[in-house]
Amino acid sequence: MILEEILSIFLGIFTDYTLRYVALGSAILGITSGALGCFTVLRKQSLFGDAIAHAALPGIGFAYLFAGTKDSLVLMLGAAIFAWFGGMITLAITSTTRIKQDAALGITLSVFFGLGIVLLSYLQSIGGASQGGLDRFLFGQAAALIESDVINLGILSALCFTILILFYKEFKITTFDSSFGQSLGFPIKYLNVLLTSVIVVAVVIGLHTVGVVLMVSMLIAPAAAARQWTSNLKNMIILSAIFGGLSGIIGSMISSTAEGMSTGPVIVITITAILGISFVFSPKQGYLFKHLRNQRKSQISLDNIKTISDKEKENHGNI
Amino acid sequence: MEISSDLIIIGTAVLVAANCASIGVFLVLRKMAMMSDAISHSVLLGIVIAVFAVGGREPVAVIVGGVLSGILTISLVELLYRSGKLKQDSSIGIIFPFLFAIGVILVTQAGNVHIDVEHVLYGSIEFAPFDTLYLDELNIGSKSMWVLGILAIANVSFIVILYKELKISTFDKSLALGAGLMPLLVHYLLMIMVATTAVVAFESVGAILVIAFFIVPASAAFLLTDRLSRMLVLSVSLGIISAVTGYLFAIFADVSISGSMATITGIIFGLIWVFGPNRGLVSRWRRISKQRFEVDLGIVLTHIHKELGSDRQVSTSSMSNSLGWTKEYSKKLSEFIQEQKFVEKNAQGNFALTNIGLKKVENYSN
Repeated sequence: MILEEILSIFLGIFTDYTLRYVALGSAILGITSGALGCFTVLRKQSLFGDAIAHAALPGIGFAYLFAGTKDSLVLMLGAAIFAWFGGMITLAITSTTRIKQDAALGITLSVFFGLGIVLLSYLQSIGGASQGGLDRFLFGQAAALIESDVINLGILSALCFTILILFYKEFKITTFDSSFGQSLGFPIKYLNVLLTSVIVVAVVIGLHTVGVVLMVSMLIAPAAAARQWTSNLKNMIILSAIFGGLSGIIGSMISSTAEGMSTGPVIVITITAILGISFVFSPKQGYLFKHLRNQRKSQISLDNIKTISDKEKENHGNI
Repeated sequence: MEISSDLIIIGTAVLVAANCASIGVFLVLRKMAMMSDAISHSVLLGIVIAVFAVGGREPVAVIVGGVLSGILTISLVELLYRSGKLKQDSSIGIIFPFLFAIGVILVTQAGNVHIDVEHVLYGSIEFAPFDTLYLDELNIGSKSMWVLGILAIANVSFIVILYKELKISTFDKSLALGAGLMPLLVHYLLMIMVATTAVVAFESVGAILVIAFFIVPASAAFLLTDRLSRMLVLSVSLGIISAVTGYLFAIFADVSISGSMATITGIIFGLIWVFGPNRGLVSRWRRISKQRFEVDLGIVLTHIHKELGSDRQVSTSSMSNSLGWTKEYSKKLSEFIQEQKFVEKNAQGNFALTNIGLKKVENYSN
C-alpha cells in the first residue's frame, strides 16, 4: 500500500501539472548548486555560501520595495546584487583588518539578514498582506513555483553551466594551485570574481526552493558526497550535480504530500541522507568496505600464522 | 512589581547583548565564530524535542534540551572533521542545516508545539513582557529577565574565575598545555557556555540576533584594542549600545526589533571599521599618504641637489617630467618645499636649495 502511494507520487510528475514544475525547479537548483558547490568545498570556502545566501535577503526586500512587483526575475536580480555585495564586504573585511574569515562571514551573515528582516517587517507594516509570499524565501516554497519561474531558473542555470564549461580549465587551476595559474599568466583575480559571481547565481536560484537559511547545505552536501566516490574533478562535478538534482526531485515530492511543509528542510534532509550513504558505501573511502578490507586483511594474516604454525608442528613432529 | 513593558524589552535585549558579547570575544579570538552560527541554529531541534518530551515549554527542560543539542552539534562537527573526510567548515555547513531542517519539520508538522517557524529566526522579544514568572502565585516579574540575569552571573563568574586559563589557551595553546592549564577542558567548558547562552538568548531574540551579538560587537572591539580585558568591556558596551539604539529605531520606524538591533550592530561595526582610531580605514589611508609624502619630499630635495650639482636647473614642470608625477602633485610638493624654506625660486622659476634644505639633504645621505 505504501509502495502504491510512493508510485502514485512519482507518476505525479507526468500527470500533475503543478508537481511537474515543482520537481523541475528543485531539480534545476540541485544540479546547479551541486556542480558549483564542488568549487566552494575544494577551495575551503564552504561557509561563504552561507553568508552570501543570508546576504541576499535584503535584496529581495529592496527589489520589491522599489520595483513593486513579485516577478521572480526582479526579485532574483535584487537578491543577486546583495549576495554579491555581501561577498565583497566579507572579502574587504578580511583583507583590510585583522579579523579572520570566520568572524567576517558571521558579520555579513547576521547583519545583512537583520537588515532583510527589518525590510520585510517594514513591507508588512506598510502593505498589509501584500508582503505575504516574500517570507517564503526564508525556507523556500517550491510549491509556489509557476511555469515562468521555472523558465527563468532554467535560463540562469544554463548561463552558469556555459560559464563553467568555457572556463573549466581556468577554474580548475585557480582551485588547486592558484600560484601556478598566476605563473602561467591567468588573471587569477578576475577568475575568482567570475567564479564567485557564478556561485551567487546558483545561490539565487536556490532561494526559491530551499531558502536563504538552508542554502549552504545544497552547496556543500552534494559535493562532499561526490568526493567520497571519486578523486577526479570532472567526475566529481557530474556526480555532485546528479546527487543535487536527485535530492531536489525527491525532496520536493515528499514535501508536496504534506500540507504546509516547506520544501527546503525536506531537500536538505534528503541530500544529507545521500551523503551519509556515501560515507558508508563508497568503495574506496566508505566505512563498510574499509571494514570489510580490514577484516579480510586480518583473516589473511590469521591464515598465514596458521600455516606457519602447522609447518612448525610438522617439523617438530619429524624431530 | 510593575515595570513598563518597554523597560522589560530593553532590559532583556541588554542582558542578551551583554551575555553574548562577552562570550563572543573568545569565539572571535579563537577563530570559532561560525560555531555560534551552527549552535544557534541547531538548538531549535533540542528545544522542540524537549517540548515534546515534557509536553510544554518548561524553561529548565528547554534549556537542557537546547544545551544537549548544542553539544551534539559540536561533537558531530568534530567527529566529522577528525575522521578526515571533510574540512571543518564543510562539517559545520553540513551538520547544522541538517539538524535545523529536522527541527523545522518537527515544528511545522506537530501542531501542538507553540513555536512559530519565523520566530525561530528573528525571535519574539516583543512578547517578553507578557511572559511572567510566578513564585507561589506571586508575580515576580519577566521570566526572560530572570533567566538572562542568572545566565549573566554564570557567564561573568566563568570568565572571572577562568580568566587566566581562557586568556592563555586562546593566545598560546601550547603554553597552556605546558603550564598544565588544561586547554581542552577550557575549550569544552567554553563550548558549553556558548551553547547555554545561545539557547537562553535564542528563546528571547531568535537565532540571527544571537549570532549578531556573539560576533559583531566582539569583532568591532577587536579593531579598537589589543588588551583582552579592554576588548571584553568594549564588546559588552558596544552590544548594549546596539541593543538600546536598535530598540529605539524599531519603535520609531515600526519594524522588527531584533532585525533592527542586528542592523545597528553592523552599522557600529562599519563606523569603527572606517573611522576607528589607528586601525580604521581613514586613519590608515591618512598614515599611508603621509608616509608617501615624506618619502617624496626626500626624493624631490635629493633630486634638486643632484641636478644642481651637475649644473642643470630644476623647475616645477621639469620635476613632474623627470620624476613621473602629475602636475598637481608636483605643484603641491614644490609649494610645500618653498613654504618650509627648503628651496627658493629665482627669477627664471628655477629652484635653489637654501641652507635648511641643504642640511636636510645631508641628513638623508647620512
